[in-house]
Amino acid sequence: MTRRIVGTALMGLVIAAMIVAAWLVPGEQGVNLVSLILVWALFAIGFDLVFGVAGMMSFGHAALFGVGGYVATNLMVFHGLDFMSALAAAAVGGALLAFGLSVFAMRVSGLFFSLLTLALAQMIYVLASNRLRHWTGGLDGIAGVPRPALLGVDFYDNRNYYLFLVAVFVAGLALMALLRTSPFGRALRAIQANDVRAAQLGYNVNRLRQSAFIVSGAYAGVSGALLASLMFYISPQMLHWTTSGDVVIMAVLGGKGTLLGPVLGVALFELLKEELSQYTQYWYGLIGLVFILATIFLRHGIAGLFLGRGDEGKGGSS
Amino acid sequence: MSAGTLKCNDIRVSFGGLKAVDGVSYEFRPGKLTGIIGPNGAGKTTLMNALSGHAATSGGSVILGGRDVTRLPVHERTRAGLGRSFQMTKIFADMSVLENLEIAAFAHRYRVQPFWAPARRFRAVRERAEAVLEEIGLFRLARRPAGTLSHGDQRALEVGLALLSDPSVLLLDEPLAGVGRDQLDGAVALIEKIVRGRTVLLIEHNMDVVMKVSDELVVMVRGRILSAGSPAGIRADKAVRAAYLGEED
Amino acid sequence: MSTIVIGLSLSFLLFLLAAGLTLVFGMLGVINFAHGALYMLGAYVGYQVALTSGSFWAALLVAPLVVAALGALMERSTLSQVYGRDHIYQVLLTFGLILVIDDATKLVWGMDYKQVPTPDLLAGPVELFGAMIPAYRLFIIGFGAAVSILLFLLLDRSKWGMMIRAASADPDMASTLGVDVARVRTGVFAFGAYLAAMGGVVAAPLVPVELGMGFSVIIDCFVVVVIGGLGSIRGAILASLLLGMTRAAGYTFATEWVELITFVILIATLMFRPQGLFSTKGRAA
Repeated sequence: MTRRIVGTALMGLVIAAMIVAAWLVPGEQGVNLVSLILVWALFAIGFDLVFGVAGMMSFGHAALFGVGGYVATNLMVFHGLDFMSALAAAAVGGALLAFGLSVFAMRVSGLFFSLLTLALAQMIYVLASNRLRHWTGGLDGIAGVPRPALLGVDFYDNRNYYLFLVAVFVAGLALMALLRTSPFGRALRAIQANDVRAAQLGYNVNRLRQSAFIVSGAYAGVSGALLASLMFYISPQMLHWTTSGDVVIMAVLGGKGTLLGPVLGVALFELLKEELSQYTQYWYGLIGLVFILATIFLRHGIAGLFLGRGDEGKGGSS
Repeated sequence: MSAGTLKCNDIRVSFGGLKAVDGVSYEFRPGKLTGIIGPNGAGKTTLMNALSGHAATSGGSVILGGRDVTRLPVHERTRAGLGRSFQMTKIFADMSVLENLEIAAFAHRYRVQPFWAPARRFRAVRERAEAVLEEIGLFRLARRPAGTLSHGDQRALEVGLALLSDPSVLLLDEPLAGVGRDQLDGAVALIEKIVRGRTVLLIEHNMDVVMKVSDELVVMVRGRILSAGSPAGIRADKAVRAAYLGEED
Repeated sequence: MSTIVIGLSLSFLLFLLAAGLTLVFGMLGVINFAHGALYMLGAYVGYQVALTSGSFWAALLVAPLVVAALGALMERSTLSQVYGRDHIYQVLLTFGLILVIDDATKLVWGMDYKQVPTPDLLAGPVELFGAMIPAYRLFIIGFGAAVSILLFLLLDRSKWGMMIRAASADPDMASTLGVDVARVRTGVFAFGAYLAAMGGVVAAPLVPVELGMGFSVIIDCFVVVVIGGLGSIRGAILASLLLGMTRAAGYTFATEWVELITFVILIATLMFRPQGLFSTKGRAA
């Protein structure tokens, strides 16, 4: 038990150090990298509620991520809505889409669920690239996504936007920590462990799974909007199956089922990408290799190293 | 707790062409323990599954506490007062014994699971879980991962989980399955303790135990009820003896 | 008429691919996400062999063998390490393999489209029922039909088929009876790779050989495998026919909606009949 507390504290320390270090590095290189990490980390944390806690392997989360981004972008760029409202709309959009997807996807379980989420998300990608060009700008995407305009601060300065992202990240992390340790979070874990027993005990398994999906949709939507604003640009790539795959890789590398694991997974992924792409164009394949090795030898991801879990049993809880 | 009523009318369950339960109607006596016995393949567990909602019926109805629950899913029947333990232990192996019980307690206490505070803040729920922990005699194992328990202790936990919702009707499916000789007496004592005042259905292959604890017996053969009555009466029943001829128990 | 031929040729091409996938799932319980990548690899290796030897037929012979060997290597080095575990690890692994295969292909062949010319023998059109049909399409139909029959016989009627089915149904028992379960697994996986690669070579003269081809085809495969029932060869044949013909009709009558039709069919099947439209009670074929 104490090992877990110490391990989690250490992980928290590493993350805090990363956040601080980025700020201390002069110029924008540090904050730009960690800005990207924080946005994806928010996505990954929300995703892990479904994947690590509730035990559903969704390969379609890119849809929630991208749609959130598009909702916010549309509202800001085409309708002049302010950033915070657009962000809220992105959360709602992501949550609603998640609800819609869950109605379809949760009719089946396990492998079929994964395939169905993949298919549904890819269908949305195809629609966004072609038929819905009017809203999405097609494959060209939409440029000119604005930054927030709050309290008179110039968020077009990347260092200032970085602070905003840190605040949102910390808030999102705190909320997720609360959800995970709450009876709701425990119920999800129970469902993953033994859904027949959970149902017999009186839990409405479907409704709980759906709730997890909806929450993760809100997280994905928000992070999608934040990313669009970070890049000043959004394209259907955010909806592509590789994006869904990326978040799965990050969660697994970092340690699914743990709160801070996915954050570290994102950091590792982005760091590898940043470093490797300087030496070779085949960085994605190399990450694939790392992922394969991690899946075989590091069953509980990076978090497993901190929490002292070698290779036994299933993923941990936090 | 109150002793609930459970009645089934013409229950039918088929698997493909096989009629596992072929028209079973029975009114279980409230507050009493009814043992369901019969040769292998008689449909006992299937009947129990139909009553608890784990098997879909192709006909008939289940009336719990005067309410028709035939269309209700499993979790709703639990909320209506039906408890169940399984033949194959279904516990949360990686969680501690106490956590297992707390999960059951939270389900019982809240329809919508609270998400605004950590679970440990809910003192009342923990106390209830600890009370049941005591009742099933596993207090000293509270913090151990449930999966590391001995089989007999796991079966006790299995029963404890079913107990936590304070069911008015309790279905026990072979609670003594795999329990070794040395733990048998303790397990039987536990069963006798928890069934007091409840309506209980018991499937169990250990005939000595069944005869000892049952107030009533129902004999099932080939998906139907062959005979029902007091243990003494059933023991003497010629038809029952004929049905069991050649069956080792 | 040409719609029918196109439909049939699409169907059999699809079947070649889906057969491998459904086989691997039915036998090993693994849904190989990298199946499309193996198809792509088959097309690229086929391209290379055709280029070097000047013969399409050499490509058809050699490329699937090469990819099958690679498949065996993959299975041995990665999948065999995680068989005991939860299925999700297998899915994740095959997903990781996609990334590796994609970039390895990019490394060897670069990013531009490759062209594999139709073999001279089959280059011209053939007159059939008053319409001019490309001979190559007829070849695909014939070839595909032959492979389907062979597969059916192999799995249902031969000793190997029985061994494979035994090993998949009860590995412990099979191994007690002297079946080398690990070898069977590698063999089945390699065979699945073989079929995928063969599909890639056969498809190469028809479609541009490029890096994204694996993914577009995997969705189709999933649809076939899900509709046909996981593990059923007969189901895969029927489902391929359904999908191929619908596709061809789509190309002719409603081009814009073709892609979406596939998705809709998949989603509808997963929702309303997840066991498949044509599922039978047994496993293979």
